[in-house]
Amino acid sequence: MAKRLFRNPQAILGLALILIVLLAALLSPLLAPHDPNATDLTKRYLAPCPEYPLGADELGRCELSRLLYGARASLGISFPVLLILAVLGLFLGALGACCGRVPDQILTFVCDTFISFPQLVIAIAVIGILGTGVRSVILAIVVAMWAWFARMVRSYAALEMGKDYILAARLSGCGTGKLILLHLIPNILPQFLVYLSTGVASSILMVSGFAFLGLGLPPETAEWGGMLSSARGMIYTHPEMLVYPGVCILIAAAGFNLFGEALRDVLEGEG
Amino acid sequence: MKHYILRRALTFLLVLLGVSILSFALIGLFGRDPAEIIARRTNIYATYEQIEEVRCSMGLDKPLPARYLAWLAGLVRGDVGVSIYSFKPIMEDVGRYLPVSLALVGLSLAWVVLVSLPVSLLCALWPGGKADHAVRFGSVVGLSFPTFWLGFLLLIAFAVKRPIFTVLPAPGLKGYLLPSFALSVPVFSGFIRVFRASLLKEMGSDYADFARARGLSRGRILTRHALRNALPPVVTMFCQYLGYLIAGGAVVENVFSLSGLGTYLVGCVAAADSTAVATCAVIVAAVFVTANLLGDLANRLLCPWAAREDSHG
Amino acid sequence: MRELKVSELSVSLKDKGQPLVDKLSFRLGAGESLILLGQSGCGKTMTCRAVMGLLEKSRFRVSGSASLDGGELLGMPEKHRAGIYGKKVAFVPQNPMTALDPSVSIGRQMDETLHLHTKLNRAQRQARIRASLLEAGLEETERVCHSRPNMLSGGMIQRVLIALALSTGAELVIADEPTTALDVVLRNETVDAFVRLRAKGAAVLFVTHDFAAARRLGGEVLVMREGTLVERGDVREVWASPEKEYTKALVRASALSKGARHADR
Repeated sequence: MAKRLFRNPQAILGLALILIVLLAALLSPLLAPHDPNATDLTKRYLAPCPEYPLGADELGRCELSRLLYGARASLGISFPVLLILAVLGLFLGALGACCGRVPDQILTFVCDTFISFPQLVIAIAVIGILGTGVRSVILAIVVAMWAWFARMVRSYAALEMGKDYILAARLSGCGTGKLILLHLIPNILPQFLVYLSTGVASSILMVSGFAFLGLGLPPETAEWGGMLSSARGMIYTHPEMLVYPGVCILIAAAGFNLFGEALRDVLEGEG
Repeated sequence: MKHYILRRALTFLLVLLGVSILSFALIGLFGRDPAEIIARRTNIYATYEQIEEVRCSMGLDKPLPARYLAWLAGLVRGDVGVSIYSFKPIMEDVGRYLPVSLALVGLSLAWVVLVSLPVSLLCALWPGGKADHAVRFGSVVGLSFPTFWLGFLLLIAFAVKRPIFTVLPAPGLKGYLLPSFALSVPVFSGFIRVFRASLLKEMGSDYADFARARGLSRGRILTRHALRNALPPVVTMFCQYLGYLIAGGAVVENVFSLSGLGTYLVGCVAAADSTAVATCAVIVAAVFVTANLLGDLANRLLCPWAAREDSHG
Repeated sequence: MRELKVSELSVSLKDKGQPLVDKLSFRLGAGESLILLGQSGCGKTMTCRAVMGLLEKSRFRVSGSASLDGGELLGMPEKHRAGIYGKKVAFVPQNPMTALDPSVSIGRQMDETLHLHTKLNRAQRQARIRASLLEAGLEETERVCHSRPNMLSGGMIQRVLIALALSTGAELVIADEPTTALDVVLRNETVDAFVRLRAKGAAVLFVTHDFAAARRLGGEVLVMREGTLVERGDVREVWASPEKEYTKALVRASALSKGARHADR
């Protein structure tokens, strides 16, 4: 399977984009020519030059450095979010599929409620309760997205639970906990990875959307959505400032989406 | 069928109840004092007494569960009181903002149908071709577009560089064209992926094979047979988005300076207006659940031979 | 139709060299039947799918020739298909239950086929459909026409498919394991339907793994194994005195099964 994945051009492109964003996030202190938050009012709206490759913004901060640090902010939120969602989703989904009717119905109902609830309201409220900061943004996205993950795992697990090998494991005296860990999770893992990869993309988009609305992160943070928001006044004078951060969001999200969808194609024997 | 309708109706009410309780709980935990927000709006240096006075007059001195029950009773009567965010009756606010959101969502879904239907059909007619590959790649990229950024790009291209549209919303349909398109791009990209896969699955089925053996052309099999059978997952998705986009449009509303329900909701949450938030959340959830229900029923009409029991929510 | 002539027909998967059918040749005239017999994977289904033009060009490589009255069938351009398939050449697939569009009534699907291949008006088509359903042994023609496929049994739909071949006046009927999905009694009735089709002057290309069904139909048999021809001859003679070891094994296996006894009744 890994071999077929590496022959898929879409997967390669996705991986390459992921790698670029990942490197930008990890190496931003080394790569960035300036401190992303160092303001210099003499350099406001500076045109691109060797020292400021992409120019400077309305406070004279280096655009390139801010974009590089933006990768850090974006992945620094999205990776923990997905880690929590993965554990939570697997736990709750397996619980729903394996532990009888009543827990399953309760889980389904709670998921339905959360899915029907406007995500934005959940996120704003959670951020409001916890205050501004990376931790509260992480939690806000987890609260907004967990129901989708739990429901997805539950439906895959329920499908898997109906198969004969599970019955065989049960008959040979395998307990529920062991059944979930040794049989269920390994078998739904591939589909789950697809969901995780595209989930990172959704999370990146959500983080930038929140930051754009001014939710969660301190306004001076170098984050792509926030940069777009503060650049909107320059739509007539410096439209390129509205283009750069968006390209970064697109690259990051497209990387994870391309990889995830290519993985799905390979799993489903297409492409 | 009777049992099915009864069960769905019950779930419908339970989910709405859950949504409203969740709204109150979230706002209750919010930690901001709505009375203080109101008092400070007229007088930044409001005293403790003045704040308490506002609290009593707005009925905010009662405990949260009591306020919830009062709101619930109001909802049944059709009058949920005045918003402490806008100082207008909440129903009036909803009456003003909801049509904007519905127009935005309606037009977005029109874009979705307009783009994804022909593109998916073409992909399914010539699978594996150059166009098919391009569409598959393009749809993943489209899925990754931040809608607000796309909004700005559209504004730069069509309002700043070539002033066909205006940055501030024009009255009537024209003001909705760009925002609805921006909102629809990730949606129709997702649609194309699901629709194309579903069409190809049908085109690979035994009946499509036999239809070829009957002498039918691929085009006719696609439009007369595969299309209808491929619709259920797409219909389900369509109805999900119908509800999802109403509140999810807030970001795009912001870019295009439209005041829809999403923007109103953001303001209400910030003002700790639990009754307005709960009302909007219930309306959004009601649209969401109803749309899902309609999708289910539509699928039962489309493919009555596949009475599916696994369709939740 | 005078004859179907297949010569040196080979089929292989594009990315694998091993041929699924290796240089198969046979001839089939009007009012005759030809049986392709062998276990699953012997290439018999591939042969008839190649003749039907149902193999995707992107996955299979097909060479040799299959001509119907001198007209080449292999690699036929898309626009000429409608003049041949469904009209002169009818197909009866293996699983009747999944052969028709599940959401369209049987009457409309039959009508669609007739509309494509004949110049009859609506009333004439309806009359033709009902007549051919009756001829195929379906009495309740109205109910059948208004049913969707899932409302009928596999045996009934099998007859619908045979009625479809009758309604367009097909001269060559290609049947891919038409008896496999049916129970024993229905199997014999289905084979008898093909005997009647042949008596009306149609040529029947019959694919099966079931010696009993083959003997009941009669005609020439081609015993196949792994894409190649093992033995050929009149089916009853081959059954009575198989020459090759592989054919002997098939005969022994078939004699032990229930199907043989039913066919012998």
